[in-house]
Amino acid sequence: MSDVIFPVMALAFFLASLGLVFLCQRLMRP
Amino acid sequence: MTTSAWLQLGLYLLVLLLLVKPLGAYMARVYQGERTFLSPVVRPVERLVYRVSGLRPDEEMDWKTYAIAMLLFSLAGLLLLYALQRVQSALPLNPQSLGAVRPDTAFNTAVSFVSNTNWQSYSGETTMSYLTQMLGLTVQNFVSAATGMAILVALVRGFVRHSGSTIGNFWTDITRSILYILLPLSLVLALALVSQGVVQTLHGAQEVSLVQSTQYASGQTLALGPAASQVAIKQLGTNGGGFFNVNSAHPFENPTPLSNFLEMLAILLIPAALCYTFGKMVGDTRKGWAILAAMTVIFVAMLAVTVWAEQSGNPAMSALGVDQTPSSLQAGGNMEGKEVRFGIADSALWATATTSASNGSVNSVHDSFTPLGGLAPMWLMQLGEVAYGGVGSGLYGMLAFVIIAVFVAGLMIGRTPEYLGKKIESYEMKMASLMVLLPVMIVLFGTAASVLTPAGRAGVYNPGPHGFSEVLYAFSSAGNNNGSAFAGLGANTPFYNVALGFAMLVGRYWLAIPALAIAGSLVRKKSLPASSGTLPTHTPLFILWLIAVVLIVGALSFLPALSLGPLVEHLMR
Repeated sequence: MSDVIFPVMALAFFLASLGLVFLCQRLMRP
Repeated sequence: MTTSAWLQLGLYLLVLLLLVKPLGAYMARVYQGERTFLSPVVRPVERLVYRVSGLRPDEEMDWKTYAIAMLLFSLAGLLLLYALQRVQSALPLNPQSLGAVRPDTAFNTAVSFVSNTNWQSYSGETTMSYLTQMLGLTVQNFVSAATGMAILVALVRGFVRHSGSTIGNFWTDITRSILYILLPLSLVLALALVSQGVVQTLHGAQEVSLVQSTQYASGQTLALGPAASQVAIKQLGTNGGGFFNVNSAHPFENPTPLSNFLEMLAILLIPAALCYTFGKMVGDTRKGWAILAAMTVIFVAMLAVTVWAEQSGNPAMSALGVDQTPSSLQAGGNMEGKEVRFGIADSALWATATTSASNGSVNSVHDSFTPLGGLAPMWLMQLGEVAYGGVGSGLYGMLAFVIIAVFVAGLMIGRTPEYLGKKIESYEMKMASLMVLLPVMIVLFGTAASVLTPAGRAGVYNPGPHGFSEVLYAFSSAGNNNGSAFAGLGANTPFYNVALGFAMLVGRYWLAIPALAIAGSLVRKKSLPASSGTLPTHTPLFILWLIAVVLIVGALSFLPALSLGPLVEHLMR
């Protein structure tokens, strides 16, 4: 079970990071 | 301080600063795609890498593509390293027959090495197989350092290029960082370390007889392994994760005064030289020297505090009549937790260098430093690891402070904020503020959550201000991607492994993304010629202003927390 939880947690963080990339891109637009 | 200590500290700074220009100029040539003296050897290998991996090295990326490539590369590395630790018992190069690493420890370690933090909640010689150390940890030492350097170079291109949209190619940048810079330097340093006696072998641990048996034991197990190749890059890449549990206090990892000097030099070498690389790439080396000067002033000031505090000794020992004055027979001062062979000066210098550079390796126990001696390294991390900081990450963190300094100075004197010909506007300020404030939030919220929850308090073995300092240090280390530990905190628990794991992830990637976003914003702007209204950003006044901004942000953010830890502990003595 742990071997699912920890990789999924890492995946969730990187998905959130992708969200941050798109948020920063959106803020950049005039 | 002894004459020997003055000489050692002076020699260290002298050699470091002498190497800045040649290495910095070399790295600038590498990142600008120019020919270097290593090109005849490395260029064919580089081409082969591109051909095998199907890369087109000249294909340019906008900041978003660059950031996504960086994130995907890091995620893949994290999952592979996690998997490797979990199945190491079934893989070769495991002479000690070590079992699988616990899931939460494997997660923490994978995050730690991928994010260039190298916080270690495990003991290397009793947890990691040689294959995991080499294929997992050492490889991540290279690629995580290269990732930081790539992000910096992308940001510099944002300043240099104008009216465009692309900031380079992530894959080319990390390939060149590894092949032209990290691998050659590591090879030279690893051979130098082997010449000093650092072990490099695939043989398992050796059982040896004690010279004089005791009632407890007649023999000892000596842990061995491929240490030199890992130690070299862990010092050069501001990684810091030791092959052995006690890191560079271990005689097989750091056996002689020369190995100690070389390892200390390697900590700051690339971060310092990157300042010159920056100056070269932007076409004005004075800008690079100015940033290096600001970093060096902060570093020397903190070094002075640490050396003074440790050399002053422990008043509790003085009260017992213990002589703590330096003499030809002893180093004097507070020697608890320090190797006798390194003494006060080299222990304090290492502690200051390793925390100023987000390296995190140690040659003494920071937990045993005096309260003020421990405060200085802790505050250096809390300043955001910008003086000198990690390879790449230190300078892009410092450039965020430069943006803030230029913006605030512009507001104060009524000039349009600009840096290197680029207007600094609200978007850059928002991103720079994110880069400065996110680590502060991680550290303070993480520390607060730990001392407020039973799971967090369970790891505190020293209740009171010292225990608070240990928790604050742990989150300062993780949230700023340093990786050193105060020690004394029971951190190999699911709570700390997960909490510190997320602190490391946020501290690395949620700063790298705004840094790349700044690059993406700047690269679209026109380059303005300098005029009489341009704020000079290479003068002693600007250097002082930059130092002030870094210190004020650091003081305002952390003084209350430091008051509950090392400051109150100092006053209680």
